[in-house]
Amino acid sequence: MRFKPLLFVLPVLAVLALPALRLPREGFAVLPQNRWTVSVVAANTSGFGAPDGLAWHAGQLYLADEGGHAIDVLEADGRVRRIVQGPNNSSPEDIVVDTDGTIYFSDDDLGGVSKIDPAGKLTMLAGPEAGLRSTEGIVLTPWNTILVGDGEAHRIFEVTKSGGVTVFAKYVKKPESMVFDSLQRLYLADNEECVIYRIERDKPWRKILTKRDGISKPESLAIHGDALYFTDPVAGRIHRYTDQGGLETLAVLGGQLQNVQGITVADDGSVYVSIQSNLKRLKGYVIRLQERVPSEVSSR
Amino acid sequence: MLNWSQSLYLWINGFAGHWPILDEIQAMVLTNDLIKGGVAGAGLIAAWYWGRSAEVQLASRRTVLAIFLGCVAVIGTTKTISHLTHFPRPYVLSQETLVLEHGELRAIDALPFQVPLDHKSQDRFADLRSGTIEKNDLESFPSDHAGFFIFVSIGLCFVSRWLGGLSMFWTLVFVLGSKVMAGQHSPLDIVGGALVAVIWSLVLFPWSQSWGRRFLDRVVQTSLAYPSLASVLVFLVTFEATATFNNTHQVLAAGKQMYKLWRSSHAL
Repeated sequence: MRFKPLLFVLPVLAVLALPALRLPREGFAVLPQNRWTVSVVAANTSGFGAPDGLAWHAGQLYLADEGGHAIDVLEADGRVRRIVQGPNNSSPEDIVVDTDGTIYFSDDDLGGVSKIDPAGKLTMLAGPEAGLRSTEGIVLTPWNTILVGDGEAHRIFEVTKSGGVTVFAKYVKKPESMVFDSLQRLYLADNEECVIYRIERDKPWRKILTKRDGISKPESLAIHGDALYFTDPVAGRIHRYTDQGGLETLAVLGGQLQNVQGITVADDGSVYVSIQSNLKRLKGYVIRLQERVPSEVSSR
Repeated sequence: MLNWSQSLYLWINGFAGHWPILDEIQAMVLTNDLIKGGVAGAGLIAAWYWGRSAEVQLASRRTVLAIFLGCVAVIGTTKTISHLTHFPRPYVLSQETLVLEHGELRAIDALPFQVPLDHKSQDRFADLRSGTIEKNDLESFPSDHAGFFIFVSIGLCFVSRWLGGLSMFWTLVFVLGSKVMAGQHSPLDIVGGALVAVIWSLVLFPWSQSWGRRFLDRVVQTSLAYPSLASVLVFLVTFEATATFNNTHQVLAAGKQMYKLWRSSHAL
């Protein structure tokens, strides 16, 4: 019985002592091989909610702000400019920007493909009534249409710029992200099947990366040169893949930084990644990875 | 990492990479469940059958049951704390690491790491260099092995100081010494795990001999009425507990995966 006060005091003291150990409680980034640097470019104080899809266009970073139900642009000074504020039940998922500045984005709650013209007018290009119920990955095709994946219909739809909808592919469990390379080959991330496909016209689909290669759930894809970049939120990893070099891990993130979502590559090769630390509480970050020049790597 | 912990870690890890036999021994302690958990497991079985008089046997079994309950509590506590404090294992910190503080990433000094010469350690370090890091390696504080095995050893001390002392010696020198030498835990992680063990010991062992006595006695009486069934259950729980519930975790994960497959096949 003389232990009684201890039973309550000791656990409380132990919990109170934790901060004194100065252990990181927010998050961390591990950079294997010291080949990349990483920095936080923007956080919620910049004005967004919890960003998902990213797109780099004409020197600006566009954000599909899933938590903030909006489409934003991150200005050079680190502030967010809101282009369109959607209704509270919207959930912008992925975003692409056409050469003329027209923005197209998907929405996994409201469905459809929405369009924002260069003047800032928002319209629904193709809605749920056309079968687009929960839209995920979106990409502009080299033949001037839009491909959009649907997580509920398990299909990829092709949408013309006048709003016509046809089925491009069936039986894809969750077409989370898509991107074309310079050879017009389509890369597709199915994050339920945990596969990245490479699709070439008139050829069978090729699985270039699967769980066996050490990936968990590929979330978002980006192309720069001959390299495919992608995020893996389950493992908190940012990867790069090339046919010659194979799979490479650029960074491993933990804690609040683990849930890596959208990815895009700027013209100078900087990789931007959005992070949803907490979608409900609207906590997120945008980070930037930059490759070190070889002399800098060897000197470290 | 605190200075004293870092200094002690560097000293112990400094033994790695010089003598192949020493490195093979630490690898075997960490990978072989018989060597890692055998002493604690044997201690638990011995404690279950400990004592010649009925009264001593009753008290021993109460303690063993409290150890079983405590194992779950200790593992639950260490896992919860490790999810709250995001700190990678010392061997991971040998790579460039930045910590997030107040919304900014700040670089911390890379921790020197001597790679043990055994194949597993060499492979693991090569994987780390290529960016393959297990999720488990990103949450190092506190050590669940320290919490678990120290808790069992304290419990065994209530049955027999000899049993508990042997288990504690094995845990500190071989199990936890190997963990630090292989860069899997820092001394700070070990102290954190030990604190969790001590706190749960202060809660559960007095409880098992006082307020919880009536409940535990009922279980013990049932075990005396069905000795074969009780032996089987004690073996299974001991077997699983000394593997720090890894097998249970794997079975549950496989079940979850099968459920997901079943659900997604119905969705298409």
